[in-house]
Amino acid sequence: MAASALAGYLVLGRAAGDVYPLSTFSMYAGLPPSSGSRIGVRDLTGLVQEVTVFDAFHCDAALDGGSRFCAGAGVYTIDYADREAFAYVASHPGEASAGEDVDVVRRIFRFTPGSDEPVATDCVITHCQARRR
Amino acid sequence: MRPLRSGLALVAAIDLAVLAVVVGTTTPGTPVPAATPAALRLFVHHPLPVLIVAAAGFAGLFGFGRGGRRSVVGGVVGLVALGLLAEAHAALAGGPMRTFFTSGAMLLGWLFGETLATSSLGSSELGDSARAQVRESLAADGARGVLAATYVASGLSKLAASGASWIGPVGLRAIVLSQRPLDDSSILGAYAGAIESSASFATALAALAVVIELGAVLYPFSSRLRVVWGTLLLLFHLNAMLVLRLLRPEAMMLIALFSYRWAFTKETRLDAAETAGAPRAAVLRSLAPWILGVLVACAVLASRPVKAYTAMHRASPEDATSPGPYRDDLRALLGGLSAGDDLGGFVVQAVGTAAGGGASIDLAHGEERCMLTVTRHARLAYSPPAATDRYDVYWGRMTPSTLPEDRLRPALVALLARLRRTETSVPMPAGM
Repeated sequence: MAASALAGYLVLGRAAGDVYPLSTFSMYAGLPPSSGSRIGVRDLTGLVQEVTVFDAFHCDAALDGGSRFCAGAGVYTIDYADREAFAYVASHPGEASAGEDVDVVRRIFRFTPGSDEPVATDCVITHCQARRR
Repeated sequence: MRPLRSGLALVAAIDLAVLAVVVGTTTPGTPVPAATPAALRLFVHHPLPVLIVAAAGFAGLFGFGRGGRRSVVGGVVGLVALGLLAEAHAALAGGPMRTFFTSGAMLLGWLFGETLATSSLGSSELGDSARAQVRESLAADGARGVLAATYVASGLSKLAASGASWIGPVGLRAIVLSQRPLDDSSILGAYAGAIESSASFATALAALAVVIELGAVLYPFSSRLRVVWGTLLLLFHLNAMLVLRLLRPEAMMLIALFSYRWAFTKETRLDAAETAGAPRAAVLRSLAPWILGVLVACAVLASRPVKAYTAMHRASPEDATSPGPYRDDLRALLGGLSAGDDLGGFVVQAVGTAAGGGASIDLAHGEERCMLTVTRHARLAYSPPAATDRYDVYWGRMTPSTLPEDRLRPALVALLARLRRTETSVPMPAGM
């Protein structure tokens, strides 16, 4: 019984892709190329923190156009996490001059052969004013 | 008292409640893919249909949990309700959330086992009580088989997509870096940091994860293996929770319930041991129509309409937007580029107006896909990977998402060449 249930689910999941409750559970199957990335907010000191550390965002550019800002080829992203970050910024608007100058950035961590430590760089998505919570 | 059945119904009901709340309270205006079926749109931004489906689902799961003659019907109703809300949620969230899949998958396995047992036992000489016990035992085996399949499927997906390279020095570290909080100075943050900065540690953990997932194929086949592999699966989830903040409480509850010899499940297990051998031949005979059913279901699932649904539905809202009209001014700027043309080794699938303005070009080469977007110079707030004097070019919607830059470069060069030929002679199109 268990063997037939196991085999049946695997076959149906492969045929379906993802239709509830069938799935191949391929969430993290793709191999990240040589990088990881995360959306964050960089303050004037250069410290990059979670977007949720701030609110009352007043940004130069709207972030409702997609989830792949600054995600060029070769940059690994977890789209739902990025969408959540952008949705947070969009759903916490504020007035200009209500806070400090910050940048919404994609912090990109690149791995290089021969080094254990990833190298972090920031790609600026837009400039904002935001209030620290 | 049927603790496994009741526990599965309870966890499924928790998933149903969460889905109902999330879908039913979605902010009006949240976009869904353009081609989302009408049956799912009914639940988006409309709390009443969500409430009705959830109520029917709860009633069904309650009936399933109680057992009895109509428990299969109740389980099917619960599964359909879960499916509708899970798919509506996937449309809203831009993709499926597999957290909700474990209870539904195990419910499917249970219903398969129970139905098969019922049909197999039709002519057996077992008494009513023994018959019920055997049916319950076989149903639980079906659920355990599917539980194991979810992990084996995950392991196979990793090997299919990345091969042995998934167990490399980069993969897990990149996932951890992309997932965990940026400014985490806690003990858990230090643990995640240790993985990020140690290639050998990360490689060992990645290898362990794949071994545990693939090894789950052993899980259903004996009570000792269930204890061993159930514990490994729980540790796997615990580690993911500590490092990645990936919470899978439903899966963990079900693994714990179905893997160990709890005091309240002892009766069921003893009954199963006493009666397990009795219906084996009958069960095997009854499997034939199910195998045929799986083949038919595979054909349906692989059909064009269903595939079109899954491909559309899984894309994020912005990705699901097809290019808008291909106006003459865009065509002139792109040098007459049309669907079917070659662009640096890729075949142009569609050209038109991008969702946010500018030109959008969908490209494909075999299974590889990507989209190039052309906008006027410095229109967007972030730097383009390529540009001419007057236009910036961006890429996105890569399939696979790890499509390397080198692979896209020829298409980008070909597009830049076209733009450079026309940008000084063709007026800038509207909306760039």
